[in-house]
Amino acid sequence: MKSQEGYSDIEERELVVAAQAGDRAAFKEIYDRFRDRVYNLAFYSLGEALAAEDVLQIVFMKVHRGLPGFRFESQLATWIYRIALNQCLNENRRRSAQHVPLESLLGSGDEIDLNSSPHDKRATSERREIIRQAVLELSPKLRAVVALKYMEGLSYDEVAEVLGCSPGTVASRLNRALAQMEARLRPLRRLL
Amino acid sequence: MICWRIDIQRNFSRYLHNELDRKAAEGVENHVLDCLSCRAALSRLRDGHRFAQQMPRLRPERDVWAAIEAAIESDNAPAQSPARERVTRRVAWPNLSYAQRLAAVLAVVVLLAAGLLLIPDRQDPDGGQTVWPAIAESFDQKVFHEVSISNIGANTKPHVVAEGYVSEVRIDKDGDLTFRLVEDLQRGEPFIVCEIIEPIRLEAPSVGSRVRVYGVSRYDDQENHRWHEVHPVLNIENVPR
Repeated sequence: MKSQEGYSDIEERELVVAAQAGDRAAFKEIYDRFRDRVYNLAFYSLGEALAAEDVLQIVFMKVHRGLPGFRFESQLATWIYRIALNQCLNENRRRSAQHVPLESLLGSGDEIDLNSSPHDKRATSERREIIRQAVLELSPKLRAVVALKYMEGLSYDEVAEVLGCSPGTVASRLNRALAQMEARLRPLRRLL
Repeated sequence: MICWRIDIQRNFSRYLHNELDRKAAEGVENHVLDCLSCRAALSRLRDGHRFAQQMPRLRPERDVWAAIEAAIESDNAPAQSPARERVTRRVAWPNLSYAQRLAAVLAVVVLLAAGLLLIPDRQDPDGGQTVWPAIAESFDQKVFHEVSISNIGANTKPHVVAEGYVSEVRIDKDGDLTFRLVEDLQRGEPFIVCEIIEPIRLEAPSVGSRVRVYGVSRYDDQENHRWHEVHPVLNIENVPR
């Protein structure tokens, strides 16, 4: 096995070819590049950190197994996201994600003043938690589309390729997701 | 008043993401100038878009690379084993009659039976443990920290080996296999839940058997769980009683 270090500047294609040839350092570099991205996608799809870590682990085992058959017919990222989303679907099928209801964070529909000390780290962390929970309140299909668009910054065409649907469906799901998030967070609109 | 220009409304999220061509973007802008309902809808989506842009980017709490690497090792082992290759190679049937084929099959069965009687169990000279050979060949047992079932809560190492009796075996809907490891078969607790996940193909231990389980230690804090796990299981050794 070729042993090589310092893959950070190498183009993705070379990296894949090296990993296909059994270079463990190259595969580790692929893992490092995609670890957080796959984790975020898994977290927002499943709504649970431990399950997302499991998915991360299984996804890269599957990527390693499938890599010899990868023929560059799609982007590496698209291929890995597809594996990740399929794994999330499997995981969602066998477990019902337990979400903390947003009401428990918001208290009531009345506006809450979270901004008493705007630079307070705690307030920032609470805002993030509220937004995170609002995303987790969406259906799994909408969550996946939101995570791919807002976490990964994919275009509509790229999201469509990962999900195996049309760009129009992506647009329609994003419209619904944003409308639902807005309705959910409307009481906090001026504070977020 | 409700606006029925679905063709325009369908483009709202693309408009917010700057993914419309100039003509379509102008179409949206011109329409919302005149349509109160769509102007309000677009404004609401813009707020939703602003909220979504604040989604926190997360990082996994633990690095799962070590577990992935260990799984790759065990995954690679069977393919590298010449013995395994010989067994799995497709048998080519020459032009034999049915009776000749039957005789050949019977001869193979007899030879295999004789082989099983003559070949002793693979034994570890120290512990007298039977191991699954393909996995064992690639397995570095030194990296695994010995833990007891009752004291696994005090463990801080990622890779552990625990020994105990298998009290139950379950198969999930997705094919993953889970078994419980206990110190005493008469008592259900304390226990460790061990999970064999799909990419790592290990044989399930039988209920009542005593085994040593190698894998990644973790705590499942889901509401109905809250137990210690070996997940994924990377190797199982059968311990003769």
